[in-house]
Amino acid sequence: MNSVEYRETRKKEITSSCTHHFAIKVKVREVLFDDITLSPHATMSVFSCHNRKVFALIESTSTLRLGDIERLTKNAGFSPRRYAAPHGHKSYFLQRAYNIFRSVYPGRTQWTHDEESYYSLLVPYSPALVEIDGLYTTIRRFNTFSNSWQVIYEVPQRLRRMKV
Amino acid sequence: MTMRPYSKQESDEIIHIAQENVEQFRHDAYLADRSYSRAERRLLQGIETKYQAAFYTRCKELYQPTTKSLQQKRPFEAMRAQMQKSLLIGKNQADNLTTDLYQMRQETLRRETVALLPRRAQKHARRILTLPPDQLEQLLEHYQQATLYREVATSLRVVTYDPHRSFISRLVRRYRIYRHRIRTLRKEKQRIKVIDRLLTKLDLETDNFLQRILSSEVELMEVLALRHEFEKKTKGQPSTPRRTLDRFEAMTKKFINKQLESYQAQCPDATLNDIGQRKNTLTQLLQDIFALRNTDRNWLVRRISEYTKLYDEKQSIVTAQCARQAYIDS
Repeated sequence: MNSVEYRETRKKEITSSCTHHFAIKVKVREVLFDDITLSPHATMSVFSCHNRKVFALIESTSTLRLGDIERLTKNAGFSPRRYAAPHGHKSYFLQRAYNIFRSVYPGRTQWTHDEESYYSLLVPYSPALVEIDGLYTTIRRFNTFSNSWQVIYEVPQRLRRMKV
Repeated sequence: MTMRPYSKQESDEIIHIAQENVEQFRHDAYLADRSYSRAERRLLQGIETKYQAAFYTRCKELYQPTTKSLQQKRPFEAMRAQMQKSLLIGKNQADNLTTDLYQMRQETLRRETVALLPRRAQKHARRILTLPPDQLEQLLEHYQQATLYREVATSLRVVTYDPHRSFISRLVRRYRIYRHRIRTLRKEKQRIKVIDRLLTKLDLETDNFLQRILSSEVELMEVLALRHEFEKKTKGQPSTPRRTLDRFEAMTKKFINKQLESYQAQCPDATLNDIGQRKNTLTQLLQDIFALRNTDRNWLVRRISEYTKLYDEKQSIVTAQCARQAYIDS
């Protein structure tokens, strides 16, 4: 397999993964960053679509939660805009968060806004599809050999804080 | 602390098997459940589940050893002679007396064994203790094995197939096992797909250099040590390409010869052409590795380690699949 074939295969894989896990039909235009290591078990692929949106697909062998996804995306240098719910289930995060809340406080039915945002972060979310809002100063990856974050791309000044 | 009819070591061994090969565990659990027959279960049914382990321990620690030692001492010749001598009675009377004493001792032993159980369970336990020793031994053995496998299965959330359960239960369990197998296979297939993609990517990143190193079957660390030595010797010395090549040939000659010998040992039918080709491949590979910069070398070592790790993972998945399949087929 040469690089062109590999790129095409990767595009197809991302498309099928998005359709299968998130019920979203995306037409991948270009894979911008392939397999950025986020942790010893998670990788992120950033790709752009034909409708000028940029997404990050995070795949992991271990179970990640929404809080982990948010933290890892920010650590990698991207600011998240929206998280695609698994299988197109619109109230997935809210419902799961409420279930967790009820398991912690079985006697309560009402929850506060703070509790809602806290328990939403505990919802299992793997694989994850994140719509990217913008870029920070650098794009980084997790170096599993040195257990630290490493810069892989310096974002030019003109692109910083720019909305994608 | 709950009493268990098995030791921690036994349980750890079974857990290890279950984690290594779930199908093997399932097969062993099936055999254990099959040997623990319905009749045997019915015998122990009278004792409540939470007291069964205590009864088992009592039998193993007190009843069986004492019964065994009493059986060995039979027919109590010394005691009978002593009775005849002390009580001045005949042989038959002494025989009857020893038999009575033996039965009394047995009864006391049974009472001691079931003493810890609640009153209702004692009746059933006594009935079990009247079984012949070999049958009792078998019953306890079957109970212990079945309990061990059942508890490990519960703790690891593995579904096992018990042939003595009801028809509906067996049907449900069979379906759950089938679903588990399908799910595991799907997960493994997905992981293998990802690994294949990552391996291809690593190979592309290095322009098939990794593939060349791995297919040549040379020990990379050995080559890097040789390269380090070569660098040390050439450092600070005036060098022209011609001289460097001479030094390179001198240093790698021994290594190449060793590799060629091992190649010849592996393929005794190799022709002159094959050997020459192998030598050229090795020389070219060594030249490429020696020409690397230090940063490239570190990068290459990292990539090799990643590649090997992924490849090993894939191999372990395939091996586990084969091992499981062997048990499913059997």
